[in-house]
Amino acid sequence: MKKFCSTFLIFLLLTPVYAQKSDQLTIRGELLTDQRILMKADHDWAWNETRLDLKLDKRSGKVKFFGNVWLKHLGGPATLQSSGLYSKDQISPWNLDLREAYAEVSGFVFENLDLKVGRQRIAWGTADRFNPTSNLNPFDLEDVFDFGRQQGSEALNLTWHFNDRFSLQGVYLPFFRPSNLPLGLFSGVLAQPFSLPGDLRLSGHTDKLLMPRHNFAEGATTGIRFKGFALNYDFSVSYIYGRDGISLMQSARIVPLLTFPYVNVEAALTFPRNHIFGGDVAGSIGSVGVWAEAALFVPQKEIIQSIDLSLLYPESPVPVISDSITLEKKTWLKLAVGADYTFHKGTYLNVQYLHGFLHERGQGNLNDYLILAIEKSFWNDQFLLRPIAGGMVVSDWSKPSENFAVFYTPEFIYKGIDNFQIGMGVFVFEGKGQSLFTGFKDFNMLQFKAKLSF
Amino acid sequence: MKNKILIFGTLMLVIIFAGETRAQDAAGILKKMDEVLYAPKDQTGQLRMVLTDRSGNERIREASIWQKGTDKRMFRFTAPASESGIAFLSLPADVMYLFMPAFEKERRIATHVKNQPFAGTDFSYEDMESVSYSSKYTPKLLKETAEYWLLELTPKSGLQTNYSKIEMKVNKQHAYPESMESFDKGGNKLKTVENTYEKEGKYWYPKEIKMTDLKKRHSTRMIMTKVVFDSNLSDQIFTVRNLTSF
Repeated sequence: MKKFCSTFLIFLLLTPVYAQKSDQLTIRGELLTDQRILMKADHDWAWNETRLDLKLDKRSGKVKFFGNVWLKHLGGPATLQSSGLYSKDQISPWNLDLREAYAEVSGFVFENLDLKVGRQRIAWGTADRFNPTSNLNPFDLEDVFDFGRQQGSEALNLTWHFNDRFSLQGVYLPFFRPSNLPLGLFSGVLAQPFSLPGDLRLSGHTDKLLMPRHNFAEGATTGIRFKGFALNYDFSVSYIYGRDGISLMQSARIVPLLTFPYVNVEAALTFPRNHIFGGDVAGSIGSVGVWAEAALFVPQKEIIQSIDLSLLYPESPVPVISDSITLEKKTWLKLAVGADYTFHKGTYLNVQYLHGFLHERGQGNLNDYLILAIEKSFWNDQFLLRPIAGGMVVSDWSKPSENFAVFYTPEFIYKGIDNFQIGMGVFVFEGKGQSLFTGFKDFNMLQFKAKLSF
Repeated sequence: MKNKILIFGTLMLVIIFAGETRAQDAAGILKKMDEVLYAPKDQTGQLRMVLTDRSGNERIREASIWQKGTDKRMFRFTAPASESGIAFLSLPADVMYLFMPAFEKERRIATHVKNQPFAGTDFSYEDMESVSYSSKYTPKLLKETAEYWLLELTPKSGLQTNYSKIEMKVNKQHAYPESMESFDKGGNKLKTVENTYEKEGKYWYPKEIKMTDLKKRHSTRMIMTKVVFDSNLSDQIFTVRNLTSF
């Protein structure tokens, strides 16, 4: 597979050399390095990423081709055996990610119709970075701190422009793809809590994914969005019929071992299907920028988790199964409301309230987040300082002091040289109880980033 | 006594009438200037922006620009690479959009951003919008010489602007603005603008605009090349649809 990918990349890189002369193919991109070190005693490396981000763009009349490829080196050596020393891939793990490759036709058949076909990312919503209505592409959670990053998906995307202000968009994604989960130290932060009955102890586990078939009924995602501008506000309403890209345990079989009470667990994971009704609005109140975005999730069916304990009770004449509901057939609403303002001397303030984070789902399971950022550029935009950046989450309002998390992520970036920037930041987490950010509290980090654009 | 009242009344009428005439003159001059600035039905061009800091260090930005009528303008950076693709759309009724390729969607520019520097230049978003001066400001003629009129422009009521007033020298022969000085709300001089004009066909256009931020001691020279007038640009260029399909 990697050979194929490499060949494809070489093709992409060589093609423009030929094409640039005649077809004005443009190549842009970035070279990025992102290094994070734990603040704990031994200062282990928490993240090591070097990324070549290539963007290819070619236009011919009404037709545009766009491609975006990420070639990444991630983490440290992935081998603990001498056999691995023969493999450069294991010593220096890398991956190739075709994030987008699509053709776009403006004025397709009809002057008012735009067509976009191919692998693409379709960003919906007007909130800042956290968009409850943007559920067409699966999340790319590889770097769990790059909130809101999404994978590309193969899609047919049609937009009818009624006029300059109103449009209707319809999208069809034939294949379901799950979200990829966080890597490295953060790999367990989105794991579902699973408690074994009684005094059983977990020795190991295996699982299988119950992937939907690639057809309209099971695997496809469809969406429609009406977008407009009225009363000085941008707005849209949308509907999506698709699957949650993050799995949910549907069943588990407990397999006792000779070393009882240790057991193995064989789990089956499913991807719930939802109807998602969305709406968003953005504009100004006075001179303050404001936005609100909401998505109502209607699960297609209840997900019942069945724990099969039969092997623990071999004498039982009937299967011993314990059922519990993990996703009720009840709606839940995700919400983002925010405002931003730039003060006279250029200090920028952005504040946002979220009900429900990217991975949260199910009525009663959504947490409340308050996210705040203040930034200021100085010395003719050569430096950007974000002294206050972060937020807080309360996971149980009945006992907020026992169920909260705060996160603080200030950063400082130097941009004094064209096409180059270098920055340093800090990730600090603290909290109690159950929440995503409480799970990070052992991973307070220093971050160094550099980016070259070309 | 009656005579005194009559003389005083006559004098007042003369003063009021003279003031009114002067105001009308100023309005007429500003209107004429707008007609010169927005004379072409539409225009396109390439911009080279030279940003110079207080130490004389220079940074270069390049962009393409499209303009139609008095109230539609599209602006898209082409260089450097880190800015390439950032685009700005100014539409009637004070509506402005910014497109950042990294986010893959447009964003409305709220009023609070309008006085902020546009992409590191000395031009603010407000400076970049396409609006006639007559529609925004009330002019007053401060001075007249053989070469120029000196106008003072004050914002019309309800206009949200960072400037308390602008003093503008308008060339008498060609009716274009030669230079400007803008003042902040505290009455302090904030920026100066110097324009150099060239004639292309029947139109005068600012070949070079130099804007200096006096406080930062930083300037931006905006040099226009490859100017084309009246190419019958489609209204579709000035849409969010076009802004985002970069």
